[in-house]
Amino acid sequence: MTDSFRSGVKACIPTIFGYVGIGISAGVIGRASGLSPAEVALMSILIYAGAAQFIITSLLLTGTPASAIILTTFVVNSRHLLMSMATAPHVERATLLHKIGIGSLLTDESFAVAMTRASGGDKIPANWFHGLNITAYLTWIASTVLGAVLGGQLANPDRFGLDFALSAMFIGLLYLQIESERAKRLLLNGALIVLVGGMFVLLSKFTSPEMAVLCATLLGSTAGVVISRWISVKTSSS
Amino acid sequence: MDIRQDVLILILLAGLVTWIPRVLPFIVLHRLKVPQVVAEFLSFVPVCLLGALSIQSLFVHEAGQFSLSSEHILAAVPTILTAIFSRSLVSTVIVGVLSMALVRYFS
Repeated sequence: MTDSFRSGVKACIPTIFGYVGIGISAGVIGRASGLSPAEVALMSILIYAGAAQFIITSLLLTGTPASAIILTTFVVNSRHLLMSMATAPHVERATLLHKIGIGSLLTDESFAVAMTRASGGDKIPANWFHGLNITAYLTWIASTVLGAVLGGQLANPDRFGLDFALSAMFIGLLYLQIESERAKRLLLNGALIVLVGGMFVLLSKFTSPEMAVLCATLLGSTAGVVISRWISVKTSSS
Repeated sequence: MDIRQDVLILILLAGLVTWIPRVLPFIVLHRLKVPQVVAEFLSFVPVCLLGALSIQSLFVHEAGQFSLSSEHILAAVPTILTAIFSRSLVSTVIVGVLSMALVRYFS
């Protein structure tokens, strides 16, 4: 184990509780919807995306055709394209195989943790990323399987608020991201969040929540570029 | 170990459509450099995406209706305060889960 791998593992620790909470509830719900623990495990190993796994489980239960399930999964997970695009330039030089390894295990949370680190300005070593990703991956698989095995006993996991672990993690990661960019653009980030929130609410009236998240992010990031360029033109001309 | 064949195929295909967008940028950007304007755009993605995901998590899907959930908003207040004052992800997630459990217990 290299030092950077180890510090990647350490960087993952704050997010572990979130993975465990949401993983157990994904496992319980999977079991309750008629998936076997082995099927839940396979889903975590091969799909490895919390929101998508919940959605696939509920679509399976309602007897949705496979083609529609796969299309929905693609839409739900297409935000990974944006995350990988944003992450790739911050990773230190490494072989293609290392980079494919990093991309394959990128999640909302590991993305946010890595971006908070990247806002310091230094490139991210591949081994650090592997430490972060592999810790999260193993935690997720173990938690979902635990949930599936416990499934019979735990009738209503929502009662314990476990489903809110993911929401709380997003809120925490958002705050840390704003904090890490505080000196650069605190006001602009605040304005963008309001804009993205408004766009999300508006778009969710016409399309799926996942599509609304994706479109609101695209619009918000575009607005960010336009506004920051407009500000820099204005300040340099006056 | 019981894995049904149709479920296996479904998981494999869903896994594939999840994997491609994850790795494609790493493969393409392995040699290419990102143009300045794209890099600027991408620098706004974390805040915008996490903002959208946070706001989405205050909504619930019930009976085909997508609407704000008072349960989630109530639980989000102590969660946001914990994030600001503790700056710790662990505390934020723990307070979030406990708040939600309390909100549901009393409602």
